[in-house]
Amino acid sequence: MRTSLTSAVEARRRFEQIYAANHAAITGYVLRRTDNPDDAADVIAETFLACWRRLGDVPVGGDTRLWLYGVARRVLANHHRAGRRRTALADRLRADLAAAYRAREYSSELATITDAFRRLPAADQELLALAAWERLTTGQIAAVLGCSPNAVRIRRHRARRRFTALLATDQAARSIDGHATNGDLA
Amino acid sequence: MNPISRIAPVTDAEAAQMVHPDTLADLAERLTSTPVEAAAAEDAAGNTAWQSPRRSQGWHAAGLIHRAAGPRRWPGWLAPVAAAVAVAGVIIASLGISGLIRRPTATGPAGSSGVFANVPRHFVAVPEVPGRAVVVGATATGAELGTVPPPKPHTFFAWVAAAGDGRTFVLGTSSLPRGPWDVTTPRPVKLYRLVLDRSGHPGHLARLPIPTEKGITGLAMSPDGSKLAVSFLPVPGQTGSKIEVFSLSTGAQREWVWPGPGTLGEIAMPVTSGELQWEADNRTLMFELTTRTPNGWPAQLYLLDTAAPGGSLLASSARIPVPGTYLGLQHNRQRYIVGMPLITGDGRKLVAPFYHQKAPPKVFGFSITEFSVRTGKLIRVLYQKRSGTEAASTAVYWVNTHGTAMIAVRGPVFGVQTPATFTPLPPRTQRLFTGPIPGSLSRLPVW
Repeated sequence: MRTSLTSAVEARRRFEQIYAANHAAITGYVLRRTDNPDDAADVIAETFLACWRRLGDVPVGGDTRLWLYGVARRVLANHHRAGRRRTALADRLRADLAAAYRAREYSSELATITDAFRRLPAADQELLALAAWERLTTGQIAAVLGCSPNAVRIRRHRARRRFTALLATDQAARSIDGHATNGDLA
Repeated sequence: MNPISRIAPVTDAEAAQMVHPDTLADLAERLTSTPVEAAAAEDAAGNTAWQSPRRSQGWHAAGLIHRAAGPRRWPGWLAPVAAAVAVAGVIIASLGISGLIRRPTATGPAGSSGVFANVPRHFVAVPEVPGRAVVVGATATGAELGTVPPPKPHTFFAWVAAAGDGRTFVLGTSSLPRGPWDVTTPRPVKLYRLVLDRSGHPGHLARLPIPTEKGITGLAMSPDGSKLAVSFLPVPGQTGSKIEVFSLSTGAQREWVWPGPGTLGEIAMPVTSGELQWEADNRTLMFELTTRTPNGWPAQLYLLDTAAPGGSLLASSARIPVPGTYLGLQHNRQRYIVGMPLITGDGRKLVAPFYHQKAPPKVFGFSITEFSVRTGKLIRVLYQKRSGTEAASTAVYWVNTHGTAMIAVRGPVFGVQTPATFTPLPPRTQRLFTGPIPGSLSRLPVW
């Protein structure tokens, strides 16, 4: 009994450490990929629920966050497939996010970038976003996606080509308005 | 600058600020209120936890919880601390992915040091995350010969090109925005030349006076180090992608514009290399043009004669007749070149990782294949591997003048590929660009 109590305390302590170190990153990851705070709250809650459920499987060190990204990615995919599934657990989080979340307004140049990005296949978007938004390296992205680093390199090459082509098309379609610059696109 | 980072709807730090510390504490408390064994058992039984009446008994309806009156298990300072930890953690050091790693299956011949004499002695390994330095290494030994941090105020390297002599490189630097919505400050790329001394130690970065206020999509340094070719996105409102070639000694510049839709190369995300390639004559430049059609993004390879007067890129170039179905990004193909092929210095062959899928059952076939530049036809397969997974995929990073030696990747292993052998680079060398775990690729190696 004592052993199980100790184990429960240790599990709780470990989860709290994981949660403290990663909640901001996971909240950011999910908010960047959802259209509204309601969905985001559910996905965040479900991701950490999965972490609690499978605490024994969660890798240690820097891999913890990659594991959580991978879980959040799958929860998001299921969420999109299954539609909205409100959870009681997420209610308070939902209220916080609803109060703080503001949809972004884009300048014309950023609107062009955003439009091109959103027209990419979902897999391309995720691959590029993991590098741009989560600042993950090739090896880290491979760990999140569950494929080899070289496969990431190949897929990223294709995604960048498609994105560049879309961006060029969009830029060509946009009239020069005196604000247009692609000086940041390198 | 990676444009996608600029459209991030929210940063991690902003996300952390959106959630009240009490909410964080409440969420953690709710999550851990059920023993992990019970939660796991429910999970295994297919019970979608949250609707479980038993579990929900101890919960309060959100919005009715007023934790301020009770003991606070998670202090208020935890959120900013966690946010700081998270922000710092985004730039994560080398991470293990041991499940993906396989030991090299090939071994080098007894005299493998002779093999390494056929490839550049030194390389630069360019970090994929901001704030880190380029590492200069020795190919044959893995000795770290020096590091080069990004010059202030820039914070990261976006472009890299090599002359191929193992000593001369061009690096393009840029900086991250102050915030995801700060678009008021121009952040053009700055180009620098890096020359290693004879023993491979890096000198200082020397700024190249090349205007780069436009969107760069490719960069290549001529083998003699005298010229730099740069490709650009079309100017907004126009359709013509273009290539400019600069003399690094005189600053003279010549420009060719593609007379129609299509893009050259790709935007650097996070760091890119190899989109343009010179032949050993320091005159002929290979580029790939990608267009957009309803069936995908077909591409064509061309050779530009940079001795020709500037003007039309089409008129000054000759197409390499590789089958169009092998190039670009098109739907429903079962055989194609993966990525950008390399051209041998003599201009006679293309060396390319090649992919062949058979279905059903799905079998991935990866190879390193040579094509004739003159006819576009397949000449020889240097290596092939059939596999059920992408983990066996291939890549080529450098090739010599006649295609008799190249630096290639087979699965997770970097090595020197010749027509007859594959000699893995020493583990110490590979660790300079993969980190502690082979194959993890945290830096882009360029020879």
